[in-house]
Amino acid sequence: MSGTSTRRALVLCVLLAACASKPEPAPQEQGRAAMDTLRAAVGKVVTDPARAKEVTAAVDDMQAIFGEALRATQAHTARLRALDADYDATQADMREALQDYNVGRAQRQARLLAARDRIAAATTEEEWQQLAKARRAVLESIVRPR
Amino acid sequence: MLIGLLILALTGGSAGTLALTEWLDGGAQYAKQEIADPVLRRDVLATIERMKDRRKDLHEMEEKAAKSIDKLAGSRQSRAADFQSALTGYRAETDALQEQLLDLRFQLKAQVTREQWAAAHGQFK
Repeated sequence: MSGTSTRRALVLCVLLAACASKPEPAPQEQGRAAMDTLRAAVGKVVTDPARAKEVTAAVDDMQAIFGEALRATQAHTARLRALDADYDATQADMREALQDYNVGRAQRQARLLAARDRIAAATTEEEWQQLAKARRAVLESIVRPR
Repeated sequence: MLIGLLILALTGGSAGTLALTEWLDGGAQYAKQEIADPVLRRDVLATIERMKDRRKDLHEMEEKAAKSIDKLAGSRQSRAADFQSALTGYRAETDALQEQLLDLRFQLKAQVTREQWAAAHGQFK
């Protein structure tokens, strides 16, 4: 499997778990543990207390957004699955479901990028590079195969 | 590219249409086994294939957008506004592909009976 295919498979693992009727022990739980690891890394790398507090708060926001994204994807998939199975569902009903989801998606993307901006603004270049490894490890932990 | 994929996928992405396409393999299997009319079977399978093609298009478009976003995400100098061009293009393409999938879904529904629709979906469960 190519690297790209592997990464896509990992991301799909998260999404399928999020969309499953009976989710496996929760991506949210794994995300929480991974974010705790990132917060610990922030404590070590960002030595200035005020900036460390700001970065930690941004990590908290990112964790909340990931949780919301997973819940929103679960709810949307259940809604669209029910509509799709319904022979009498209208195209307008299904378009509305997709549009609702798309609006939430755009808002979550904007909030996630805003949190990322806060981390970038509150760190030095050296700290950013040191945290990059931890950030990537967190993301890989969130999407680890199951 | 992992970060880019996550920004797209965990905050939206092809998961938005998963419910429209997750049953297609089972639906195709059902059509091959249970639709006796060869012309109808051919037409139903063709529509399912077109839906699978759109799903593939969605994934490929997402991969492309993820590459752009990941490149930006790696730089501390990048700010949210810098991502807007990639995200705007991604959203426009996603919306168009979602609409095409919806059109094909209703085309497929019109090709089969209520009972066949329910049975084809039942193959997924």
